[in-house]
Amino acid sequence: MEHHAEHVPTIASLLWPAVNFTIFVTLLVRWLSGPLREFFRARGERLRDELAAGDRARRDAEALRAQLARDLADLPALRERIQTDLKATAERERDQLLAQARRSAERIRNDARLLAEQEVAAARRMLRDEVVAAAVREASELVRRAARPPDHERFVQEFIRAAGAPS
Amino acid sequence: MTGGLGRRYAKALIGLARQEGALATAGEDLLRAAATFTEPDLRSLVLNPGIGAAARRGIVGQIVERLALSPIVGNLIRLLADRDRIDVLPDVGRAYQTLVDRELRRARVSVRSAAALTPAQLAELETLARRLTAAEHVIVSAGVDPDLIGGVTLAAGGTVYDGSVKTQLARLADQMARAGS
Repeated sequence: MEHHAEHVPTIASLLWPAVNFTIFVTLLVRWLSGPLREFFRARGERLRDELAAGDRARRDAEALRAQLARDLADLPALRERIQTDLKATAERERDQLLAQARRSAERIRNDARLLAEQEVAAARRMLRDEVVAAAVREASELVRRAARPPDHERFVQEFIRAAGAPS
Repeated sequence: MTGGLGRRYAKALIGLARQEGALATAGEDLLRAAATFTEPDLRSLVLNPGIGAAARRGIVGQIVERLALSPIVGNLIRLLADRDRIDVLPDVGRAYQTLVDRELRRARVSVRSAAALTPAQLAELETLARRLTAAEHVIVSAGVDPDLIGGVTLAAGGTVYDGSVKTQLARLADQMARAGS
């Protein structure tokens, strides 16, 4: 039976590891404490932001839901309003079209009346001119046939009197 | 264009005619010459550019002698032929008549009637024309125009005194037409 001598650590043998460990811990604290703090701070902040965003999203969703609920509740009234608006618009359009059609009809009537009046006036003028021309032709022939020397004498005397009279 | 030129020649001629006391004779000669040289055949001959100046002068001289024109009118026509201006002769004649009429206080009057006028009527119209034109003498040229239907027209200078039945009827027709419009 093998017997191993029992090894008892001494203070000295423990001192160096303890010093090494202390230096190791000091260096760890010295070099890693800042980044670790910053990492946890940033992580905490990110978590807070995400929680706030989630909260906002939740509130928006609730507001949207409430709005949708209101809109759904308001749908019959909205439908009624749209129907009323459409009806009013259609009536306005109809009235405008009717007014426009009336104006067009009035204009056409006026144009036609004016044209007819012009035609009548032109025909009347033409007829009157023809009648006057025929009357002058007849009168000329009548005077030509009926005029005798005493008439010609009278014409000359009348001319001499008229032309010689002071104007 | 040739009116101004004709008037200048006429003024020169009237000066000479006045000196010789031949205002009327020169006017008659001028009218005769103008009537002759406006004959188409003679006019085309005298104005033909193919005929030389000497030959033209010879032709014009013969015509002047044949017409027995007074020396001052003959010389004027030869001068016009030399200057290749024989075409202004009618203008010279008209301008000369106007100038002489003005100098002699004479007016030319044209009377047209539907029927022939009696000497008494002509005399009355001459008196009327003297009064209307304020001239001492009037030269009346009378003519018959059946289109007038009746009455008389008298033209003196640029004015026409119209007493014809035709114009009266036209005036009546115009009044009737205007009354209806």
